[in-house]
Parts: sequence; structure tokens; C-alpha cells
Amino acid sequence: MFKELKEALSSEGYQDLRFENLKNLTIKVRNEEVKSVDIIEKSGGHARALVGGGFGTLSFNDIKDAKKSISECIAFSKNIPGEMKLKSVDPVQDDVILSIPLDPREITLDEKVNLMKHYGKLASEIDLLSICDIEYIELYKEKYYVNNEGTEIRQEQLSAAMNFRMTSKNDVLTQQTRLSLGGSLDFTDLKDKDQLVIDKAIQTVALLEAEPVVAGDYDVVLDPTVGGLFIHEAFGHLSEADNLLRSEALRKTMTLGSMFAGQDFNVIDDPTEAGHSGSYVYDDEGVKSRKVHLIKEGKLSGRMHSRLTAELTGEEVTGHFRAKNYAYTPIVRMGNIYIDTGDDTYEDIIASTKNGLYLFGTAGGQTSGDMFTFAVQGGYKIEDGKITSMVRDIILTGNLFTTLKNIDKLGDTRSMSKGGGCGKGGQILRTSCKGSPYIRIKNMSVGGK
Amino acid sequence: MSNLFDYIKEQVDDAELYTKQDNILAIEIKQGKISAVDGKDVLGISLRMNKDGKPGTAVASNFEDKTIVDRAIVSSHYKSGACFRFKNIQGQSENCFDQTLFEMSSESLINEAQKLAIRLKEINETITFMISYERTNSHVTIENTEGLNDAYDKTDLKISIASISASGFVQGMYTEAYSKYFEISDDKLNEIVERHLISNNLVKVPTKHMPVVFSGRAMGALMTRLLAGVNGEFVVKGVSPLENKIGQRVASEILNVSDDGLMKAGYGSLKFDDEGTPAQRTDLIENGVLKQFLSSVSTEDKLNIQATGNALKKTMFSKEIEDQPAIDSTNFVVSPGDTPDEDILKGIDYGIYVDSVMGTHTGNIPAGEYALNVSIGYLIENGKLTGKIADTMVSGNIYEDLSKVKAIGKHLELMQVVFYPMGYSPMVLFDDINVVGTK
Repeated sequence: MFKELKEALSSEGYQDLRFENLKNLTIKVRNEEVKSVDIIEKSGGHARALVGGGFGTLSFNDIKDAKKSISECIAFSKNIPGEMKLKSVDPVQDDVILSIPLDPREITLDEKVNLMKHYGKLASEIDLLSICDIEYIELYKEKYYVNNEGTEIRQEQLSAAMNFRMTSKNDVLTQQTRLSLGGSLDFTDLKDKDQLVIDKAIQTVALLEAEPVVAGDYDVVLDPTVGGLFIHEAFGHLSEADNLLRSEALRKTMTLGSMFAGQDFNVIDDPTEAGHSGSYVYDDEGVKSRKVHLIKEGKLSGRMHSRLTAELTGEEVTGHFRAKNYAYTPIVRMGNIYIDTGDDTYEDIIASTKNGLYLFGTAGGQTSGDMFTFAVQGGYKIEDGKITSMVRDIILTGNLFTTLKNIDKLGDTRSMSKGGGCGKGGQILRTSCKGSPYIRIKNMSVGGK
Repeated sequence: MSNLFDYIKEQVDDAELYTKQDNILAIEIKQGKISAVDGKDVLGISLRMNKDGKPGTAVASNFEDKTIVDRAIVSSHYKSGACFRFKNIQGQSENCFDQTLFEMSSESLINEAQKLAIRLKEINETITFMISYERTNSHVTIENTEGLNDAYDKTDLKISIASISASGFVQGMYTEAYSKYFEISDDKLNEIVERHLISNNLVKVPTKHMPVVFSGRAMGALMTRLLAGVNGEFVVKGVSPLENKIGQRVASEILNVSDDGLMKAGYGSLKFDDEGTPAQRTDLIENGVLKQFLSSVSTEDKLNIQATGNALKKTMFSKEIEDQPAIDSTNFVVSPGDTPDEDILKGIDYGIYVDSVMGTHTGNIPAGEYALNVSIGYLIENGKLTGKIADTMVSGNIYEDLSKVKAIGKHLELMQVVFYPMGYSPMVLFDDINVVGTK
């Protein structure tokens, strides 16, 4: 494989090639019934060349087309006026072999299906829980990467996750929640999760009795999944340095050293922390991933880079340039982003909240520049430091800069999302993870109906 | 390809082989500079088949990969539900191919984008714009054991312009897309600049019910909910509020909505859908009355509605070869009304104009509920746009709000939903929508 790829490259400008063999398995189960099993095998490559003022890139299927694809990339690139430089990095030769406690690929299809049916049965036996949809997603990639600077990397990537969507229904109302398990390369993380599944089913049914939230400003306590989504949507995307290319003004707004939050507040993206859906060794430009402090003690202190954005900003490479698969050109993406822990216990955070909301479970979010919005599965009122009645239909919106400064409590333990997923530039990336401790945000705008 | 299909036929009882070759060229201008030319030349092969009374599916990325059959057979051991039914109806017309577009090279695409950048600069040289062009050529084939053997070529072009605010964020956004070559008109470019300048004035609005104009673009968020309501799969599942409403008034009598897979030059036009059903136009709402649901081969019997050519291999977030055909829009079209666009705005003393929203994909979509954060929107005062609204949401339920449609504009805009275009709509005035503001 390396031989064929290297032969396709020449010494003109910068060139690279990656070739991927994908083996994915998806299983869909509803309650106790298997809806579908798909074994997906695809392969293809992605070529890039930089000889003119910008990259020419091309996705292709057949390894025999590698050389032709590089030629086309060169032609594309030559048409682009101006010049463009990449941050220089040392060439790397490496072979990343996975070490897996319990390899999902060694679990039989029947075992996987039976585990899912078991969870589906547990959930659907709860009264008023009408539908428990479970999707198992196993992604395996064998990736080859070469460039004309001498880098040669073969790496394997594997993740296995189960995503639940539960629906409860009574005569007047339908409520929906989500739950994810796993996300790592270890099948152990998917086993023996009966209690989590049952608890989520009970919560889904309990939402039927909840009151719709009254829209307004609240002090909100976010659970780690909501906190993780918040930092991913509200701040993470802005720290992807390719966003800086669109204007000088944004570069000014995002000047390193600017005070973004309180002094105890730290945000990190760390693909090197093993065991999450966003863990990986090399990005799709052959750069080894690094732990990056995005916010350190309240100050903007770093961002996620490709070689191009590192050069443009004069900052170090971080290895965050990734693509969904061979059919897409890489873009700067988060790996494992999280809010770091503080000193507050969960109990203290709740007890010190006079009149607020405790919010649990994510239900999707989106960002547009400094504005963000995301939905949560449900919540509880906090009255005089105590959790009281349940509320539903909750959507949070806000402005990044004011919201970050309003975070005033940080829990002392962090947890990372299971499963994963993020959409950007037309590419859904499952290997993206987010996490947080319990956090409190003052004066958050909560929309209801 | 026929070699692979011959091999498949020997192994299974019934089969359908679908292939799609995409050739895509995309460029982007940021800060006046082209950053890349991104190309794609990829093939996807999808097999759906029945063996021993069970349906199975698999995909591959080259014609030599015969394991596609073995994998489909394994899938059939587990897959629930009835066998696939394959049909043989030849597609007729094609309104989705343009030779000029097909032949466009990366050079000509770059020229086009640069020309557009210059035109924008001539109108206002101080504003920073991002411009993107994406040209797609697709070749689709379908062959099944009922004797269907059909193919079509499709082209499309999507042009987006975003203007950037003083702090570096997207301030204005416009997207246009057709399956034929086009240029964005001078009037539109002037409007983009004018709106950008209006946006320099940030305003707040109070929380109350008020007249709201949804631009054609923003209508996509509301029509996503209507699409779920007329989606035959949701009707069969019992989750569509429109289930027993055919023949009944569900919207204002001035509202007409169709799905038109044959729309001339429509971005979503095609010869046949991804199950081989010929494209057609389906009138969904006529003068406010629900007329029809969208149906696929698998819902035909349950709904007693012939497949409408809407089974597509895509979701809101993906267009992969492994996405199974499911009911979706081709060109979802809100018919133009009889009020000139400027007259709609002139008639409003105080209200908002919503041009782009966040949250299209969240909430209980089949139930028609929406709660949308306005990412780009304007205050309307005494018939004029006077500023960009900040921190504003609109929320409600389309099955109440579609009855509040008071006027429909004449000019069709592209409805953009999450990653992909959904169809076309003019601007629509609703007279009494719940707006959550911060004033």
C-alpha cells in the first residue's frame, strides 16, 4: 500500500495522500425487535497538493487512481492565485496498532444483537415507555497516510457506541430522551449497563408528568453531558482555527490572552486522553495530536490547528485536522473537548442555588458565530437549594462571551460523553467527544413555549 | 456493472443494484482569497435484495467487491419486515441536467467566483464576504430483477454568500441553487449589501406575539415540520398530526405547497428516486386543504397511495450510499403568492423579518413544534427593516401557525435546512407569532 501511494507522489510543492479501508457495522433494534443489520465496507483515498495559492484536493475510490488524482490536485492548485505556506513539521514514520481490552469485532453479531434486545426489553417493560430505539455503531478504519516530505503512517481507529432514543407517551403527550453508551474501542464499556438503561426509561416516563418550563432567565446547573455540549457548541467551534481565516476581525476577537471567563475556568481539548470517542493519535495531515489548553485561568490560551492555520497564526501545530472519511477533505475538528474541574461538590452547587433549574441530557445544539442554542431533555426546579419538581421542553440560548463570564460554579469531577458526534461543513464526525463537571451559569436565557 | 448484477442474480431471489458516481468541485473565497479547490470523484454501490423470504442490504465502493452479496445475505438473517418490492416503471423526463454546468472546469468555477467577488466589491468595498461555489455532476443507475434498467445524469450548482460583521462573525447569508447554470442578480447583491449595513444597528425586541415574516430561506425550518407531517412513513407509524386530515383545512387558504421532483432546473429535480420510482409533482396543500401524503414503495399498500418518487438516500445530516431510501423532499415548494415582496414589508408597523434560524433539527419535529433561535433577522418598523435583532427566538406549532399566514411573496428563495437545500419558498407573513426577546 505505502509503495503504491508513494509512487503517486512527486517532489513538486507539497503533496499528500491518504487511503482508508472502512469496515462499519450498524445494528438497529426497536424494543426487542431487530430492525436492521448493515455491514458496510468501503474504501477510497483523498489526495492533496499545494503548488499554487491554495490546496487542490480530490477524493477517489481506486488506489490505481492515486497518481491521476494527485495530477488533478496539482492542476487545481495551480489555478489558485497567490501563495500559501504550511507550518513545517518533522517527517514521521509510524504504525499505530490498537490495543483493545475487549475487541468489539471479536464479539459475534448474535451477542451484540442479544445485548441490544436485552436493553430494549428492560426499557420497554417500564409502563408508558412506548418506544426504545437503539442503534449500535461500530466504526473501524485502517488509514494509510503519506506525504512528499517523508511522512508514512499507518493507523487503525476503532469505536463502538450504542445510542438510545426513548419515547414515552400518554393520551396527551409524547416525550423523548437520549442515552449513549460506550464510544471507546472497548466493548466492555457497553456491557452491564442495565441500571443506566432502566433509569433513563423511568426518567423518560416521568417527563410526562413534568410541567413545561416558564421562559425566562434562570441560574442553571448543567449536568456533565449538557455542560459538555455547551462548551462544544458555544466555544469549541470558535477555537477551531480555520474559522479565523474568514476575517481579520475574528482574529482580533480571538486574540490569545483575552479574558473570556472567570479565573478558575479552564477548557482543554485532548485527543491523547485515551478511551473516548474523540481519542486518536495522528490527524489526517499526519500530525500527532496534542493536548491543547484553549482557556487557561479564564484567558484564551490556545486553539486547534491544521498546518495551514498554525502557519497563518504563527502558533504551534496541534493535530486537529480531520475528515469524516476518504470522501471528504479534512477540516479543523475538536477531539475530546472539556471544561476542567473546579472545587465545588454537586451538593454544594445545588444547595447554594436559591432559585434555578437543574438541566439534564442533551437533545441537539447549533452555533452561529457568537450565538448558540441547544435543547435539553428535561430538568428540575431548584428552590431554596433543593431540587423540587420536574420541568420539560427546555431550550437554552445565549451569547458566548456573556455566558462564559457567568459561569460561577465548577464541580470537582468530570465525565466525558459516550457515543459522540458533531456536524461541521457538511461532515458528521462520530469520533468527537465532549465533557464537563457539573457547572452553574448565572442568568441564562431559557426558552419554553 | 452488469457483470456484478449477473453475479448477484445468481445468488439471491430478487435484487436491485443502485449506483451513484459523484463528481464534485467546490471552491471558497475567504478574505478575498481562494483557499482551496476541493474535488470529489467517488462511486457508491448499493444492493437491496431478498433471499429466502428475507430482505437484506449492503453497499460497496467498487464493482469488483463481490462480498457485497455475502454481506447483504448476513443482513437478511437479522432484518425485520417485509421483503423489498421492486418495480419497473420507466422514468420519463429529466429536468436536472445542464451541459454548461456539466462541462465547467475548476478554472471556470474560479473565474465565476472571482467575478462575483468583484461585483460585490463594486457595490461596497468595505464589507468582507465569504463566497462559495459547489458544482456537482452525478450519474445514477438502477437495475432490478423486475427488468428495470434506467439511468440519468444530474448537474447542480450552489452559490453561497456570507457577509462578515465587525467582530468577525457571519452577519448576513444568502444561498441560491439550481440544476442549471445561473448568476446571482444585481438586485440580490444590492439587497445583500443593504441588509448587511442595516445589521450594523443591533436592536432588541420585546417578548410578545407580533407579525413575523419568514424569508424563503427560513421557511425551511417550518417546512421541515410540514414535511414530517406529510411523510407517509410517519403517517403509517401514527406520529403525524395530519394522519386523518386529508381533505381538511390545515392552513390558511392562500397557502399552496407541493413536492415537485420535475421542477425545471430545481436543485432537487431528478428522473427517478432511489427506489427507481419516476419523479413527479405531488400537490400536498391546495388553498389550505391537505391533499396528499408522500409515499414510498414500502408505504404504498398501507396508505393506499402510489409511490410519489420521494424515497431518497439521505438524512438531514448525511447523503451516504449506505443511507437507506426514506421519504424526503425533492423540491418542496411553497407556491408564490400575489403580494409583491416589498408590499409585505410595507404593511407592517412593528414586527420582525426572520432570515435564518438555528434549531431546525431540534424539538418534536413530527408534532409540528418549533423553537428557533433567530441567527439572522431584522426589526420591521413602519414598513422598513431598521436593524438586526439580537437574542431573539420564535416558537410555536406549525399546525396552529400555518393558519396565520396572511400574505405570500412572489419571489422564490432556496430553503436551506441544516446541511442541504430542501426546496423553494417565497417570503411568508404570519400575523401573530410568539417572539421571545430581551427588551
